[in-house]
Order: sequence, then structure tokens, then C-alpha cells
Amino acid sequence: MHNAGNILLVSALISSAYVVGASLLGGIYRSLSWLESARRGLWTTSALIFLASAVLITALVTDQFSLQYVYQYSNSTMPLFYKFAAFWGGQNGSLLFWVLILSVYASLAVFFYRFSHLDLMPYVITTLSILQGFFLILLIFQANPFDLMPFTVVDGRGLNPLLQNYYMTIHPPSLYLGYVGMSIPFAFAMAALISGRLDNQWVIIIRRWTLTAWFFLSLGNLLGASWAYEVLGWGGYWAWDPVENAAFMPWLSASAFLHSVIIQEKRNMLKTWNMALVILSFVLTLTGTFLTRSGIVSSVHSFAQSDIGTYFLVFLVLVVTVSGGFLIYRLPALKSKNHFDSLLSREASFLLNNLVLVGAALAVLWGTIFPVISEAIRGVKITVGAPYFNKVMVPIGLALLVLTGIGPMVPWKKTSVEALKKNFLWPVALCVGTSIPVYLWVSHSVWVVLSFSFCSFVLGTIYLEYYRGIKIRIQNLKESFSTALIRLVSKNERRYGGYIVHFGIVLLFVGFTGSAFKIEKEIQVKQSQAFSIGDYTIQFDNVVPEQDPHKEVIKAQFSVWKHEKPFAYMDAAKVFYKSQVPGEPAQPATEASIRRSLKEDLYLALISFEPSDRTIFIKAIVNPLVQWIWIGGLFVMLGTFVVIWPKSNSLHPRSS
Amino acid sequence: MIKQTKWFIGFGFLILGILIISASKLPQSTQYYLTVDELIAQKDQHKNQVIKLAGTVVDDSIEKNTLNASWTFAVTNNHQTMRVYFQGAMPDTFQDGAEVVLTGSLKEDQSVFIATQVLAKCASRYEEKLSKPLQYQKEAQPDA
Repeated sequence: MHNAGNILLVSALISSAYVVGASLLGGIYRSLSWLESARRGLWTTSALIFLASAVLITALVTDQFSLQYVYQYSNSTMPLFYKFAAFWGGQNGSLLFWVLILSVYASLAVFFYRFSHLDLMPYVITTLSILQGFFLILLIFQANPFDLMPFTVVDGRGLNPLLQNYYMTIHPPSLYLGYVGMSIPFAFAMAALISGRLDNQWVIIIRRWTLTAWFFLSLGNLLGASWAYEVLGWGGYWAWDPVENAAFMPWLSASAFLHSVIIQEKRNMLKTWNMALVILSFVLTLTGTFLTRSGIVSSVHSFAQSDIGTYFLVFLVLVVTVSGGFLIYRLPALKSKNHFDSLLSREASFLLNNLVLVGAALAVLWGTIFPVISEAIRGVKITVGAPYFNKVMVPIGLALLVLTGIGPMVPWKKTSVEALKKNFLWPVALCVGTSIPVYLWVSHSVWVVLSFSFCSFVLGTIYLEYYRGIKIRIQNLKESFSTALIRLVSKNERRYGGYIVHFGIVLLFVGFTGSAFKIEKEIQVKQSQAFSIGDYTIQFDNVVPEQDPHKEVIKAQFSVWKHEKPFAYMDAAKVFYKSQVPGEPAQPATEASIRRSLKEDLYLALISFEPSDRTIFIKAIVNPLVQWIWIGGLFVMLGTFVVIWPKSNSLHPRSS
Repeated sequence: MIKQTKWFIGFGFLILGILIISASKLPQSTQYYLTVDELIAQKDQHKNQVIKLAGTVVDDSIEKNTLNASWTFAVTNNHQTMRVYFQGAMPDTFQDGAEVVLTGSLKEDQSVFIATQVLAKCASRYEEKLSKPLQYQKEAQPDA
């Protein structure tokens, strides 16, 4: 396994080096045979990486504890799919997983465009092969998953119990698909810069790739939030941890790009800006990885500290220098002939949304790297906590929310007062109409009032757009309501799918706002004692132990009343995962019990149990509106899916 | 073209505004991040100040008071040690030898650190154990 894995990695590295050379020759001499050779070479590299991954997975599944990686992240009693998931459970494996995903994306891109974009493809292949090569060097020299154990062992340590959860099988792959997916847009941006083909061709190609990456980033972040909520036992879903920020920043900049690309397509403007956004999104994925893997920022996602940080830093500097250099070199060619006509135009409101999104990404970046800067400049180590991010991001978020409503309702180029009145009268009325009752009966907090009012404003605009579209179809084409709705969306899936995404975003904001009303209690109770929180009375009934070869479970059982009426039985558990290494204590993990409803969740997490006097220490939380986050997330996914879905006549992308 | 420049200046101010606001919010949300040795050396400076304290839990120092679910333990950076009192939800990864980051403050009497939050990591222990193979060699079977 050790030898096979290393031979495959080294061969892949050699192959990627060849591809870099071949693709450059193909590009410079416009040689189709070199391009063909580079293309085959990229597939070869990818196949070798695929085989190396297969070797590691086989080693994990068949318990080859002679490999250090298998020993550290797996053991013989783990269920099969956790053994499989251990592939990305540790640093070295996750880097191999990263380059595997990169290879899949790269192979697909090269396959899709094998007959088209012949002037861009050589440099796309060059960029992707350099990326592959970087990760292969990292894997071979610094983070080798095929390293042998220095001594013999009979069993492994097992995956960290916090990771032994079904989310482990979906959250990391989804996030990585999002992260790595940003490489394809970057490769096309670089190809456009290097080749000088700076028309809209590359932008149109990467729109769908960026959407795909954005889809997986959104999904990955949501799954991570949901995982934290259910498993970590602190009752929240987002903590502004550096690792979370690392995934959030490229999401923000990619969101900006997905809007500004529309302006480039429609009005041929913002070319430089779009190029910069694509580069920024990719650089942010590398920065995030560098920050969290190098150990220079402390995080709960504690990857072992290692020297891969240095490699990432060098590569990061290289990427920024080369891409920035090319961008400056091509600035004259990127100049746009069109200009903004009015502040009251769609392009202006889109640009505004872009700036706010990028500003948000920079604000998050600032908070994330400030400890590093402070230590470097003042020699004082400090931490930046969640309060900073909440203070800064709440106003930025609300600005974005209101722009979500405004942007699509403002016409291109310029607009009249009448048009504005027609589009905004009802949504603004709805907005004001919401703010008064919310202020009177729900909360005096200005942020809560603004958030709910803006939410109803955006809902109003989305409703208006659908209403008008459907009404016209029913009147002019005599369609039924459902046919009109389906045709409206499928004929103009980018616009109306986008509105579905916006609808999901509104629901997300409703959920986030709920956190302003959170009630939390940590309390110690004896058996058959009760306590109350919010509308609930909770009685601790009993503790039941359960056991299997893999883990021990302590389950605390509760009877819950709501408004004095029987409501539910809940059990909150503490799980002790046994290590198969002799003499090592079991690793505990918390499994919270959540009673969900659209209005609020009741959340119980068992903190500790004292057998001698049958007392438990329990965390109880009433978490209003959290479910809307997951529902909103589903709409974001659905909307993105509608937007990505290829039209039947554009299945085969053609050269423009 | 001039029109365009005006635009970008205007929008540039907007970004700048966001950054200035975020920069100004920063001081209120930052906390000093100190090791046990640093805290002991600068006791007076950080008295009654909420800080983050990083250290390793001293083996066999953990005592749990089941009456009010409070904990006392010691943290160290190999040189000096500091007693810690904590009442609340202890993370599952808290154990002897765990690397912890505590949020809290050193009160007037300056002998015990009162923690309001405990974050415990264990990943670095995973790495550490590899260099201490003795106990596994004894248990290892020849045919394994």
C-alpha cells in the first residue's frame, strides 16, 4: 500500500509536469497535437490520482494499520462508511481528496470543451495542471497519507468522535466541491488573461461552473451549520470560527461575481472587476486553507499544526503575483466602452450589491486575520470574537437584503419616477406595514424591526415579479395558472430561478433574526425534578445506559409539558466512543435532542451525569425560527438548481 | 469616462466606509490571548480584564464538584501553573493533558482564574502519541 500509493503520487506529479510543458507548447505554437497530448496527459494525471485515492480508501476499509494515516483516523470497529469517510477525516487524506476533486472537475472541463475554445484550453490545462502539481508536491513531501507507522500496532485510534456522524459523509465533500470548484473559473480567467482573448467568451463559460461551486459552497456551509447545531451541543449553528469564515468569504465573492457577470453579458461592462472577482474567489479559498491548516489562527476545527502552511503561503504569493501581474498587463484591453447612465439603473444597483458583498468578505477577512497582524506588528496576541462579526455583519447583511429587493426591480440603463412607483409602491407599503406591528408587539430592537421589514419588502418584490409574469401569460396565452408558472420559470430560468434563491435568502434572514429571541439555561437537576424554560416545563425522568462494541451511550430521558399540557418525550445523550488502542480513554460526544417546529426549537443537551446521586447537568435552549434557516437553504439549493439546469438546446456548449 | 470615474470614487468611499466601520468595531471585540506564563508575568496589567488563556491541563489536577457542577483544575505551559475555576458546560474533549483555551478573568485575589468558557482541543495529542510508542510495542502481537 505504502509503495503503491507513493509510486502513483510520484507518477502523477511527473505527468502533471509534462502536461504543463505540453499545454504551454500547444498554446504558444497554436499546435493542436500538443494540445491533444496535454489533454490526454491531464486525464492520465487525474487517473493516477484517482488510483492513489482508491489505494488509500482500500487501506482504510481493509484496516491496514501499518499506514500511519489509517492508524490515526480509523479503527477496526468503525462502521464501513466512517472508514470510508476517514479518507477526508485527517489532514493528509483530505488533501488527497482535494486534488481528487480537482482532477474530476478538470477532466470534465477538458472533456466538455475538447472541440471548442481552442485558444483558451491550452492555458486552462496549464493552470489546472500547476494546481494538481502543487497539491501532489504537498502530498509527496509534506503531508503524505501513505507514510508507514514507525512501530507495529494491532488497531487504530479511530476517527475523532465528533466526526462520527452522518454529516461527516456529506458536509466535507460538499464544501470541498465548492472550494475546489472555484479552480475552474480561475483557470479560465487565467487562460483569458494569458491568451488575450478578453471578450465575453470565458465569462459565459465559467458562469455555470461558478454556479456549481457556489451551489456546493452554500450546501456545505448549511450542512456544517446544521451539524454544529445537532452535535456540538452548544445550541448554535454559526460561531464565526476561522474555518467557517474561510468557507464564507469565497461564497461572498462568488455571489458578487454571479451578479456582476450579468452586467458584463448585458452591457459589456465591469470586465476588470469580474476578472478580479474570479481571482479573488480563488485566492480566498487558498487563503482560507492556509489560515486554517497552518495553525496560525486558532480554531475549533483543529487540524494538526504542520509545515504545509509554508507551502500554501509560497503558492499563495505566487498565485497573487502571477494573476495580479497579468491582470495589470491586460488592463488596457479590459477597458469597457460603456458607462453607467444613472444611479437608478439595474447595473448601478448590481454594482452596489457587489461592493457590499466584497466589503462583507473583506470585513470577515479583516476579523479573521487581525490576530495574525496584531501579533506580527505589535507582538501582542489577541483574539477577535463573535461580537465583532455580529456588529459588522448585521448592518452589512441588512443592506444586502434590501438590495436583493431593489436590484431586480430597477430597469437597465435609466429609469423614471413612474416606473419606480409602479415597482416599489406595494413592496414599500408592505415593508412599512410590517415594521409597525413588529415594533409594537415583537421587539423594540431596531435590527429586528429592520430585518423583518426588509424581509417583507423583498418578498413583496418577488411576489410582484411572479404575479406580473404569470398574469401576462394567462391573459395573452390563455394558460392555466400552473402551466403559466412552470413556463414562466422554464422560459427564463436564470431570472425566475434567481428569485427562488432570493426567496430562500429571505427565509434565511428570518431564521437568523430569530436568534435575537433565544432563551438559554444551564441547570442541574436531580431525577424526577423539573424546571421551566420559555413556555416549557421539563422533567428529568431517568438515565438509561446503552452499549455496543463501538460505543457506550448514556441517555437522559425527559417529559416535557408546554403551557401545562403534555408536549413530548425527549432524550438527550452523551456518547462515549471507545478507542481500540489499549489504555486509552473513550472519547465522549454530545447528541442533543431537538424538538423542531416552525415557531421555535426546544433544544436539550446533556452536559454531564453524576451516577452517585443521579443528577444531571443539562443545557436547555428555546431557539426561535431556526427551522427557517434550513427551509430557506432548501429554496436556495432549488433556485440554484433551476438556474444551473441546462436548457435542452444548450447541452453542447459551442464556441462563440 | 469622467462620469465613470466619479462613480468609482463614490463606490470606493462606500467600501472604505464599511472597512472603517469594521475597523472601529474591532477594539471592543478583541481579547488578549495569553499563555499561563505571560499572564503570571503581567498579572497587574490584566487584572479584572476578560482575556483568553491558553495552556495544557495538568494531569490529575481535575476536580469536579458535583453539587454545583463546577470544576477546578490547573493549566500550565511547562513552567508556571495557574489554578482555574469553572462552572458550566465542560466540552467533551476536556481531559488530562488537553490543550485548552479559557475565556475569563483573574479576579482581585489573583490566585485563581475564573473561566466563563472552556474550549478544549485534542488533535495535537493525536500527533504527540506517535512519538511515544512504548505502550503499543508491549501490546503488539508478532503476527499483526
